[in-house]
Amino acid sequence: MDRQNNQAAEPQGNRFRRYWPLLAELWIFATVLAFFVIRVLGSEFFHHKFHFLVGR
Amino acid sequence: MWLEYARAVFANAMVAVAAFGIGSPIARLLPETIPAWSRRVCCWIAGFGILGVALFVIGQWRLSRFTIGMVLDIGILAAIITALREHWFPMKWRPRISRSQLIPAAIVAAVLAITALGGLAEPVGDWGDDGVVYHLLGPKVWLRNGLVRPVPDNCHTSFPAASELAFSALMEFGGQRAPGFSAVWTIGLFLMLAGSLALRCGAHESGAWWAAALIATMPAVYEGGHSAFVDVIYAMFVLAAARIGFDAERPRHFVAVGVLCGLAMATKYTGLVAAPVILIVALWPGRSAIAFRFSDTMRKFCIAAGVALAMASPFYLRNWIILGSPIYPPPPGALGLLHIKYLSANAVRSYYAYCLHRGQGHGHDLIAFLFLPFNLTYHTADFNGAGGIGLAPLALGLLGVIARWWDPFARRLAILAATLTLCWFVTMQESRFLIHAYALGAIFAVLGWRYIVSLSGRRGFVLGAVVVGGSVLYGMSMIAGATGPDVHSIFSPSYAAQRRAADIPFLTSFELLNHDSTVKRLMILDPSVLPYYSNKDYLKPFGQWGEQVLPNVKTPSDALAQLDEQHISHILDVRSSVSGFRVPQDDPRLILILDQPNERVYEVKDPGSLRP
Repeated sequence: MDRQNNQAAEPQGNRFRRYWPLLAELWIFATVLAFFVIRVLGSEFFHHKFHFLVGR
Repeated sequence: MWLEYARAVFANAMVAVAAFGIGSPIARLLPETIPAWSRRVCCWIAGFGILGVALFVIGQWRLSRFTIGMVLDIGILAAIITALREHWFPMKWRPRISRSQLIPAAIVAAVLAITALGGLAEPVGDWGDDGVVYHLLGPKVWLRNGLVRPVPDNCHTSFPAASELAFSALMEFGGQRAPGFSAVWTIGLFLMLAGSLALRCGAHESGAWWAAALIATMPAVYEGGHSAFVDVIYAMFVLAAARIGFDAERPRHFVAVGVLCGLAMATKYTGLVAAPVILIVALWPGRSAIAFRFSDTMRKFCIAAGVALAMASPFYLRNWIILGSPIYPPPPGALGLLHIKYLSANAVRSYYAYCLHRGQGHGHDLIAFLFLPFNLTYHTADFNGAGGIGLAPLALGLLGVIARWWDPFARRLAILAATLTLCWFVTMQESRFLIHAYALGAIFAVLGWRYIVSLSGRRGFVLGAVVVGGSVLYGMSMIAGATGPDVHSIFSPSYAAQRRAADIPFLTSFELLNHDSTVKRLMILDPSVLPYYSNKDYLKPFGQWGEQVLPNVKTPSDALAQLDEQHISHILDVRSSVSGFRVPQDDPRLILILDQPNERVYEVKDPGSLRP
């Protein structure tokens, strides 16, 4: 009960600080994923080599 | 062949030493807080530019082996004096590369090795390749004429040309391959400067190496640094000015900043935008400024701006005097005020329309600006930046900026990168013109990698390593693919011949004309033909951008009417993507000496033989 009260009373800045590393990691992960999708899967090279997967 | 390579390497060593010597007196102007090796790098960079400016000024009177040799001798002598004064001999250089620096150092070494080998290849390309279109055409024509004047049929040779004058020195002593080989040390200097900036922003030594490795493997950066492109050299001046300027305090420091801003303006017109931005960011009062005095700041600004203008003025004054406009081609809005040579008002308008179209990118609105980081990362080709910039600036750069925002130097660098990117965005979105920002993006990416490690420990390290490793591998594969043919041609004469035949347009004609001793002056009628490949004096009445070299010559038949007057001995007539053959085959004054499906060469009969 005490713990719940403590959480509710946690200031906005502290909460942000706690989640900031996770946010930063998510940002990096998202950019890597987008890079893979756009520059690798979307490349002509990939389409040429793996046409049996993506179609011509 | 090997002798030709050795000659190119020797000329480069000579020019590099001369640049170092010429730049060494600048050291006295630099802030004492800059470490010794960073000072050397900044001085060397300044020396390279000052060498180009000095050759340009002397070249207005005479550009010959003697005058170039004199300038180089002075530089080499200054380098020897510096070495003796600082007790460099006997040299005891020991590489100090720790284990953590080995991988990025090996990546940098690999890129520089590829650059060195590829740089020795013969310059080839068609009229879409700026290297042979004008960066190398200017030096070749200036050396042949012994005078630095804009080539009338190519308005790009009137651009600020500090780097091209250094290419002239290289070409004179090292042949046609020497300017290409210079990329190995100009890119090397750029990477050293980036390392210096990274260290100043708080990176460890291994971080500085990783920043250099990231930049070296950005295809969009590499594209602007080899094959006689000058964009990396320009970015080097911009970043060196920032390196000195953001630590500058005393008026004499601002003299050095002015020199480097002036050299940026003496290398590319974009320097006219970058120089004031650098000065404003450098002089903007920091949060910790206790006793800010406006008059003091204005004094420093005026010193730097005055030196910069003095350094760049030879190029702009020459254009004004000879061509009628300091910036040539002039902006269409200024056409009413200026009377310019060689270009009609319509040609200038079409030229700028082309530039605007090419620099359109994804548009100039707010949405396009907000998406710019993503588009530059994932669709760099839309900004004519083949190969891209890798993922690191987007994924880690922002974190690096956040991590180092408290550091005034890093903060100023981030503001500079953002402001110059904004200027680039509203003017011309050509990827090569943003190389300085890409380099800063890589530096902040390395700082961001360190930051994410401090936040998330091992998981952050792995994520950062995936981003940096992926960017480096992707970039290296692109660079290796692009430079592969150049490197191959160095080791295989048969492949080199094949490459020449494939990549030099109208090679048969040029080989015939270059080897024929009766060729005195050549007339080239097609605007798309590259005169760089002609070793003989030539007249090209119609330029690629609508230049009209002779005032009364508007059509090919007008040009043919002036054969005697212009002392033409041969004519090169081609069928190209621009037009068909232009010379009538039944002209009694001409003898057809080469007839190929797309190229013809005529010899002009001696006027005396035509008289009855």
